[in-house]
Amino acid sequence: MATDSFILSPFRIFKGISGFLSFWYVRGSQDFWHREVNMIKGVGRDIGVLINLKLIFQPIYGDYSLIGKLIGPIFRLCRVFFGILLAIFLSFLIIACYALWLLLPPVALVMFWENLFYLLVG
Amino acid sequence: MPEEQGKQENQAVSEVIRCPECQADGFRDNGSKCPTCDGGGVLLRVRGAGDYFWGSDLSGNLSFFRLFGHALQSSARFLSYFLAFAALIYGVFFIVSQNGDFFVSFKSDVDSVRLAKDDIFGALVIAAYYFALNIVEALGVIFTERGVGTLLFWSGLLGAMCCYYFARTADLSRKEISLTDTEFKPFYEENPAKLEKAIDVSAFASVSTLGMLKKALDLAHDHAQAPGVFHLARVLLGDDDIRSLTMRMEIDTKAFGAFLDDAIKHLPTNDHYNRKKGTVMSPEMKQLAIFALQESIIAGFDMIEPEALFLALFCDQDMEKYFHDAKFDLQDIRSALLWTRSLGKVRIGNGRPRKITHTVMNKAWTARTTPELDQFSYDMTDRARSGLTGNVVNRSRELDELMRILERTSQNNALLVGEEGSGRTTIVKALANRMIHDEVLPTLRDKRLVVLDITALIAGASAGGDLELRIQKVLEDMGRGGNIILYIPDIHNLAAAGNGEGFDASKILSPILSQGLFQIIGSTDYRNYHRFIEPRGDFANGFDTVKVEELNEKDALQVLAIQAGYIEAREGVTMTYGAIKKTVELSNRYLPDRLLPGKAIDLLSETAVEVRRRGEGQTLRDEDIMKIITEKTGIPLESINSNEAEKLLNLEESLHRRVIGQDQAIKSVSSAIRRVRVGMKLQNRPIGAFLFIGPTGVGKTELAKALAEIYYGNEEAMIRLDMSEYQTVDSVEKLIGYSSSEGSDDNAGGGILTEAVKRNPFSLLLLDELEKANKNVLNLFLQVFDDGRLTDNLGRTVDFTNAIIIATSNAGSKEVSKIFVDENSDNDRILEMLDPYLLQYFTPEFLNRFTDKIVFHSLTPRNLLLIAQLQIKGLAKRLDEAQGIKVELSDEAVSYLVEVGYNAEYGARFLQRTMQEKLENLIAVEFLKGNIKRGDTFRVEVEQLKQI
Repeated sequence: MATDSFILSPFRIFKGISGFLSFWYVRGSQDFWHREVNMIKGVGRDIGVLINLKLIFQPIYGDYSLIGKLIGPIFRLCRVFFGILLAIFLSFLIIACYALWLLLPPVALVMFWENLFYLLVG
Repeated sequence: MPEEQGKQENQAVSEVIRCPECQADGFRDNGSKCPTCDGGGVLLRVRGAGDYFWGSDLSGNLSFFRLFGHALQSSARFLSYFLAFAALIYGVFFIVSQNGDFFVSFKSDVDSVRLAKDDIFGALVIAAYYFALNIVEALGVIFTERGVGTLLFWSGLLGAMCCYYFARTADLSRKEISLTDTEFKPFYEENPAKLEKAIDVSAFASVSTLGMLKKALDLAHDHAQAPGVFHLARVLLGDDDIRSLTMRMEIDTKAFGAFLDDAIKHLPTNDHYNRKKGTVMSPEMKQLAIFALQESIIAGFDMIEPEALFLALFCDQDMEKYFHDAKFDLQDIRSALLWTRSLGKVRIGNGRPRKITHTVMNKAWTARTTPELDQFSYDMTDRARSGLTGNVVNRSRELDELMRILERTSQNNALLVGEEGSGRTTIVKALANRMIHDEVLPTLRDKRLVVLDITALIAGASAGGDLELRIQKVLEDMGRGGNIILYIPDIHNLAAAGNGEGFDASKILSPILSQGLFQIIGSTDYRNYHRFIEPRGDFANGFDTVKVEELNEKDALQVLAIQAGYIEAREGVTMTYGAIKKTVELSNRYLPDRLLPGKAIDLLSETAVEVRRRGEGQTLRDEDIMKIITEKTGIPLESINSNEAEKLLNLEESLHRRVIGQDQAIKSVSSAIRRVRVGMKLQNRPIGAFLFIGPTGVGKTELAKALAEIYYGNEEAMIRLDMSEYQTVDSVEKLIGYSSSEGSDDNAGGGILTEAVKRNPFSLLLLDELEKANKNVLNLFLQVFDDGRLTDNLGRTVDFTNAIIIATSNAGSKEVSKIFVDENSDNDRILEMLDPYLLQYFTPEFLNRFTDKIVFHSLTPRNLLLIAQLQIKGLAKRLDEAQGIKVELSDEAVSYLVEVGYNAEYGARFLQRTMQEKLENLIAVEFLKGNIKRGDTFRVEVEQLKQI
């Protein structure tokens, strides 16, 4: 049971809109970036980018033969490269999602009004 | 991730302070805030360091939109989102349907490619290209088209964004309880720093809690009363989660509701709150809400939830009394709450076995495969990743200690020492969980926790170095692997393996342990630690020990609460909280040879299977648990029924059927049994400890046997120790066990007394000729009589609280014979006379610990006659069963036997010997001569007896 009435006064509407904008752009951005940064860190950790960089000259699978010493850095570099590539790709994706996040409210509002105006007026 | 549960219980010392200025209202009569308490009215002061109050009224917190947001959080959330997204989806399909030729062109393109090149891969690439193109085209249509479809789409999108906003702000408007914050330290720290300002707890209430409080205010307003505990309780009873909780606790919700309605009806009206129209919290409600914060911290909630309000009801005396009458206390409801919340987290996996993915390689690519090790082991970290390691309750101390040892740079091998079932492997599973989530220091990250199967390692290994070779290969694999932590359960088996074949596995492992080549976790129990590990100095020194103790009942209840959900789902039964609580209580009391929580889990599973046999959808109650324990132990745990009540009341009569005379003794032991059965026995003492004093052959041992038969159901349920065998100083070790060394006999590590009682705790312990025992042995029994327990040489506690202890003594028997003692003699007076003689053998504090000291009187001729009749009856029964011969004696024959067999000094034994010499020999001779055959009735006359 609401203690407030259902009447939406201009003040209430203004408060609601400003609250929504603050939530969407300020709080939403904070949460968004916090989540995405953690995701990128997790991906980097799972792929082992830093640790492979650190052990770049250590042979893989403990193969200390000449061939092993030659192949090791190559495979490690490939892994690091793949990890960086994935991070870049994810970063672009995240930026794209963030752009969508930023643009969504105004675009949705504008398109809504345009369609409504079109239907009402023709 | 599987959770490690179990927070420290808050033992906050708190006091309620009511503002005298505003009478705890928080407001003055003119409506302004009281300056003294700043509107709080009621304050909870915790440990003198933190002040907590309820600072807001409910009107601002319950705006329409906040409530709408709350609605989105509840089951209506799905409907709200569905409506918004339904419009969105409808719009999308409407638009796509406008582009119908999309599908036609798509198909023809794919077909033409395939026909031309017969290239499926090429066709798929083309298809993906066109699909993407058409999505872009469709998206373009959304922006370029104008119409109903696009309007629906955009309005649906706006609606979805609003729904998301309302739901999130409802969440965000509340603060979370975080125990790392300074403001909550007074609840769990012993000497916390004083908080600078008082804390408004209303910010930590969830929206559903605010809703409940508001409903309670409205209910009070409807009755024109000041809102209080009864209004809140009535409202809480309507909550689904609370109702589920009360149902599980078998609280009669109808009766409870009726009680509350009645209480509300009798409350006085209150104009002050009536005028406030249900928006202002009364001091009582504020106090409840503040106590709910305390309960939320104990329960580990993130916010003050309605369940915490339910727990806070206990701060009211009337409510506490109601629950107390229903046999529940606050701790019960806390445990039940933990259980009902964990029920929601049970995931059975739809009956499909979970796939275990084997991971060998670490992220650093430095590990190698371990084929030899894999043959004799399994990977615990793989199982942890597949979610097969389960939940761990309250093992943080042992786990932290284990991790501290493993994370060291040297001397970093650990040995878990605890009895079987104490949870050693559970701790290792918890470690595996932490490792896969990287919640460990870098030295333990990216590693495999592998469990060695010693049985597989040893099995099939022939003599001549086969086992040695296997161990070497396993160790080589570990060194090569580079990322292995090896767990060896029951490591004492490995330490002792090869013994007698000139090979000692511990000698292979010792240098590895000391050099820290790789890490090993072992586990063993106390007995085998002392037998096999401790004597091997180098091997033992390679480990740091972590003691693993049995869980206490409270923690075991938490574990069982989690497991109960799985058992319920698996067996298809419903359990009550009472059943779970009873399981822990009774398994701890009546299954002493196993540890919690394992024995409680097994007992609950077994009972669930039994209940399932009764049919589908049955409810498991505490009576079912009691029934299973009774079947296992023979101890009647169910409520006393009328038959048993009659049996207990006539216990003397039952005993007299076997024991002639000795009324005082029979009366005393019967009284003790009745007290036990009604539940009046002291929990930490044996059922009874009796000292029977008197001459030989008067029925002391016979009474013990009769009691074992009647109380424990079996005459064999008796542990008999002849104390004349324990006259030397080293007798104590015989009774409680030697310090074990390898190669000792079976009693090494376990004493005759402790092992016997441990194996059979529900028995009668008969200590014959107690006065002959060594003084050190008598001192041992001081603890048994006082605490009902004894610690053996390995530190294990043996429980004597279910035993009846009867000690017999001939001390002072000569003096008893001199004094004419019969049934009518005053026991206390005789004991007073015997005191000096008893004190020659026993100390006063020892004698003082007996439940009763009873003097057995010498047998009179009348007694002996009855004994003779009893023994003849027994003999006749044996002969009938063995040879089919019936035996009858004339009255004169019986009298003759009693006359000849009477000896005041030797009592019934002399009569028994006489009967053997005269009667049994006669029967034997006549039978062998062929004068009596199978089916005959042999009548014995006195003349026949006189001839023998």
